[in-house]
Amino acid sequence: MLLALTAIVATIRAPSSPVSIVVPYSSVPVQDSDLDGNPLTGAWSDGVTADLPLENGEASSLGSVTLTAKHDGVNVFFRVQGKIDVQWQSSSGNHFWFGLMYGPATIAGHHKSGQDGIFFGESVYTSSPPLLPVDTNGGGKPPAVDASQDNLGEMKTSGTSAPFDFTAEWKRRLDTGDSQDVTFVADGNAACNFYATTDSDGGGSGGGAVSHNAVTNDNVMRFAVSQQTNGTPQAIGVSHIPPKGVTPGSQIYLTAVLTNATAAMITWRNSTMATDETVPMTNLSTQSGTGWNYAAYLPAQLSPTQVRYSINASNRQTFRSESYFLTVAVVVQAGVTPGQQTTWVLTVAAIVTMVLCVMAVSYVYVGRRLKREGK
Amino acid sequence: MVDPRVVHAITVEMCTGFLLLGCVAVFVKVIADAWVKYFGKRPTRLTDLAIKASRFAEPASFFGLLAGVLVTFVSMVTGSLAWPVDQLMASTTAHNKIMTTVTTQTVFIGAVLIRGKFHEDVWTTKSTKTLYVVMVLAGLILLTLQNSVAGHLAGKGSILDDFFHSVGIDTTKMWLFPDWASMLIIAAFPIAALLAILLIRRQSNTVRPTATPG
Repeated sequence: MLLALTAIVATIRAPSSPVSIVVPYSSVPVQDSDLDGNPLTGAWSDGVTADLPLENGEASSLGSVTLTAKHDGVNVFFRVQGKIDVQWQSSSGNHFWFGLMYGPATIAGHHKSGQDGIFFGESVYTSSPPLLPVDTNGGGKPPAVDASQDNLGEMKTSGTSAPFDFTAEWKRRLDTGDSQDVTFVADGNAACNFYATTDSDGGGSGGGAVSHNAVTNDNVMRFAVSQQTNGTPQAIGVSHIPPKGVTPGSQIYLTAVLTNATAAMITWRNSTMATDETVPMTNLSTQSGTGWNYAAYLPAQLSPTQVRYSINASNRQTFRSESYFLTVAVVVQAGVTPGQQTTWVLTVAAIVTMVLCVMAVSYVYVGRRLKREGK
Repeated sequence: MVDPRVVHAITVEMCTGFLLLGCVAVFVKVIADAWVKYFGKRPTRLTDLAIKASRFAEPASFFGLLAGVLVTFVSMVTGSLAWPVDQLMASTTAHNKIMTTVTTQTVFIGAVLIRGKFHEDVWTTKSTKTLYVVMVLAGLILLTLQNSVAGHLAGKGSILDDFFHSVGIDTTKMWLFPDWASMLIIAAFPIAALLAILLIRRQSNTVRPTATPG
């Protein structure tokens, strides 16, 4: 009995309070390859760590996560380690999601219009592993998917019995340039409200008992001022925007404008590759401003993934490398197919027929009943 | 020029308001009648109030339902002007909205026709009264669902989202029957309704009026 009580007490954690954190500046970024859902990899030791309460209100270890965060003046890096009652097995079987929504200080509360978000494992967005981040915005339930996906990372689960461990790691630019994203200002002052939660009991999840919305914790984060000293202009300029809407099965065409470069190549890997591959960039012999247009093809990806790549440009004196990523995803069917349209017309016709029949029977019944009463 | 969406918003508020008035008035009448029936033996101020409420609620409910049904037709027109047809046809939420609106409207039209034809007599027998109230209640539930879907269409969400989530209703996915089920319903329900009507008539004809002493 005593042992059982001890075990129960050991697994129950007092709900933690809302947190207020300052995300520190770090000159050492977390490498893209380390944003893999494995908590053992990556340069996380100089980030801020906080015990973050979840909106699911669970009193056990399922009710909070450990958040680690830092930024390098360009990107902000997040790692969330927590526990959940089901493994992510399939979108039709056991699965769960982790989501984090953030917004400016003027918008407080769970799930509000104007908030930016990131979701891992929500089966409305993700049909199968890898559990890649989905950039969302707005107060819809679930929120709308951003046209521009600006998060790089992955969530993984581990363990053999409940509660299972999960780790989500991702990065995004402080300022993504996307009007649908909240901009993080690294001035040590601008506050940003944020709300994290998990769900496993249905509604983008299934098989578990965690409901995502029980409490509201107004967590606040600020971003420390960048201490970047390396302001020396690079001799080589790289101007590149990762392509959007890349789908599985299509070659990936990358273009860049390189200034003062004589050669360039791309090193890349997808989320399942262990090592980088290299492809050369070709000078297209067309000028763009002060630079030249370069292009390269990456091989078609067979399934949804995230491709991390670096453009490595060089001349005789110097060298410059810039990292990027892009998301390969099946295009979510926008609109309604002709087949669905037909099925919908039939459904409406069926419902109206049903209601009309009930109404007709009711009408006749009322008439006869009142007639019987002599009305 | 006035934005068509503003006009649509006004008509939506009007039809929802009228229908809500009609439903609330029906429920007021049910409660008032129940009060008079069970506690009305001794005249009290509450009993007087219930009698008055019942008297006013009945015509108010008919007015609310009738006006609501009429303004809903106007709202359908303003809605089709406010939202481009191709945009509506591309949205699963819009499909759900149209479906729930058509269903709600059909239920309320049924209630209005019955009340319009049989007047206050609907309230004179227990079974017809129950049928009428259930019909209005069904309309109210559908109206609530319809307006929640409309919240999503307007990009605002709905305060009922968490409730719908808890009962497994996803307003963003298209609600569809399998084709075979729709066909079956379209074929079977009219036949079943016809049989039910024949049965009601037959039963009604076999019931003899009570013989009066000669």
